[in-house]
Amino acid sequence: MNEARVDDGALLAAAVEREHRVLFFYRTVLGSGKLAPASVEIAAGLVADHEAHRAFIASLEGVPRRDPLASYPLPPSLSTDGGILRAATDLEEEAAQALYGSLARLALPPLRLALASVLAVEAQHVAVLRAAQRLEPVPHPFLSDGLS
Amino acid sequence: MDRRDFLRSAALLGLGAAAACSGASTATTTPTPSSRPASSPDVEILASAVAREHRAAFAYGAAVASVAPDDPSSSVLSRFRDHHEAHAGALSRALELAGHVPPSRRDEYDLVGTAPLDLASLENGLARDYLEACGKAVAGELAQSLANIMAIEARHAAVLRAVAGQASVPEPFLADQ
Repeated sequence: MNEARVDDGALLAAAVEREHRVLFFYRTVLGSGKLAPASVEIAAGLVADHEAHRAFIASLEGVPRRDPLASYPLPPSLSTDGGILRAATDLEEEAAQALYGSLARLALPPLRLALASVLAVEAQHVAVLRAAQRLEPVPHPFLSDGLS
Repeated sequence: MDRRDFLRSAALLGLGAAAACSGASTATTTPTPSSRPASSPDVEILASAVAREHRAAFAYGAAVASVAPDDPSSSVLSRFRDHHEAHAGALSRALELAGHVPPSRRDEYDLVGTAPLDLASLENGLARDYLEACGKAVAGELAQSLANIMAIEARHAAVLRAVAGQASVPEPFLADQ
């Protein structure tokens, strides 16, 4: 198989795996009873987005099929609504940054377009979560500036 | 990738094209007006993006002027205006490094309006333009640089939709928002 396509497949497989991990996090915290009602509504919406993202990326040509693990490591400090929102923000930002980092490495332009479409929404998730915490939702002009 | 990397990556297209024309090493080639590459799709993408950012900054300037300084929305509008000015500056600098003259800001632009939903629509359009450009960019590094800005425009749209009382993220894919 063409080396570029193998590399693209590996990058996309990593993206699917990140979606598995994020979904496991949200399903765990939604079942924990620790989220405030407003946060439950937010998290449920984000879950729906990530399910769509996972299905979409996994459907792209060249992506090796890989089922989710039974469990994934969870961040610490998930005993309060605030702690969960902070952890969710970190996970979403990490996912967005990873997608962003993949773009220059993808060989095929249609795959860049596909991942960029997912990246945009996962970047929005961060803004939504920051707003829920009364933080500046979009503190910097470039995604590469991070959040600090 | 920090802002300097953004500029370097966006300038790759100009340096690479200039090197291809001259046969010189990319690492030692410095773009000059005489070695400026012919217009390429990537250069056109950058120039269009500069023009759109100028218009967006103007729109936010009008929005800031339309509210009282102590209005709660003033700081958000000012911040987003500053973001668009930063985008225009970085994109313009990338074009200059590649040996091209960036579009200049106009004194006036036609605007639909400056209410939150109007600005959300503007931002959504910007984000989708960047998304389309990501798919068309010849250089992967340029696609990444454009996404660096696209993500922020998408965030702006989400915030403004919330201000207008609408769903922040109405669809799971930007192309459908």
